[in-house]
Amino acid sequence: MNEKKSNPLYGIGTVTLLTVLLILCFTLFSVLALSSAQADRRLTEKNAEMTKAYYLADSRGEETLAALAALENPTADQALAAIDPAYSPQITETEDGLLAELQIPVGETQILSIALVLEETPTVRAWQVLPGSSAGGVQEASPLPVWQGER
Amino acid sequence: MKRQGARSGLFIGELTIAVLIFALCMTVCIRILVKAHTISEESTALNRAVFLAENSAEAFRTAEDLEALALLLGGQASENRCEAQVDGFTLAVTINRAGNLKTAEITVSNEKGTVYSLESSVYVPEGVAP
Repeated sequence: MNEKKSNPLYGIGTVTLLTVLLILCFTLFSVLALSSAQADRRLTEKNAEMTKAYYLADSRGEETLAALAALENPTADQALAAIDPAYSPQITETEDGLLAELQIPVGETQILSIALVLEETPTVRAWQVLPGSSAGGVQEASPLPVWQGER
Repeated sequence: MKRQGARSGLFIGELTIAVLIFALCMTVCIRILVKAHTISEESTALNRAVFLAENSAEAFRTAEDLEALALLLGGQASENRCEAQVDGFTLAVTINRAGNLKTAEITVSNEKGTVYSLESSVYVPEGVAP
């Protein structure tokens, strides 16, 4: 009759339950922190690789520019010989003179497109990074659906 | 009384086992957290190094000479090399010139070694100072 009822909070199993819950929480947080840090590192490494690839392509472009500048008023054949065939060079005649177009790969997904007008010293007409690959050439960028100003 | 004593013993036993398992799991969790922190610190360092190298490459392209580059980077120039200390990183730019092409080797390092390096070239028309 006088037996005291024990508090159910301190009963057998409560501690185990609490421990399991705590362990689950800590494990979840630590795994999330690790996966987040790894994702950040992957992104950073990708950025570092892309930056290196861009400056490498840009340097190759500058080297080509310097090689073409060394030839004064080159003919189409001379200009073609001065450009690395890996850059898919194209020489066309325009009103301003010879126009040399080349595409230097920047990583696997982009291309540095360069257009030079070959005069006494070459003039840069275009120097831009476009989406594409060395195998498939420049890809048309899909335009964003923006309002055209018509109702 | 006997039953109460047995319950207490069982409770203490359970508590001891729970504490042991908790400590074991916490050791693993702390190791994972430390690894995450290390990876995060490495990423931050690489990110900062890439930014510094990119900044130096652009400064190299615009600077007329080594003195101007040193001024832009806040460092010191000697012979064909410019060195600067930025945010705990040592930034070194070595410039070589071959004909009308100027090349810079940019290295960003910290106490652990080289974090990032970059190479950039620029065409210099004749008549422009090295």
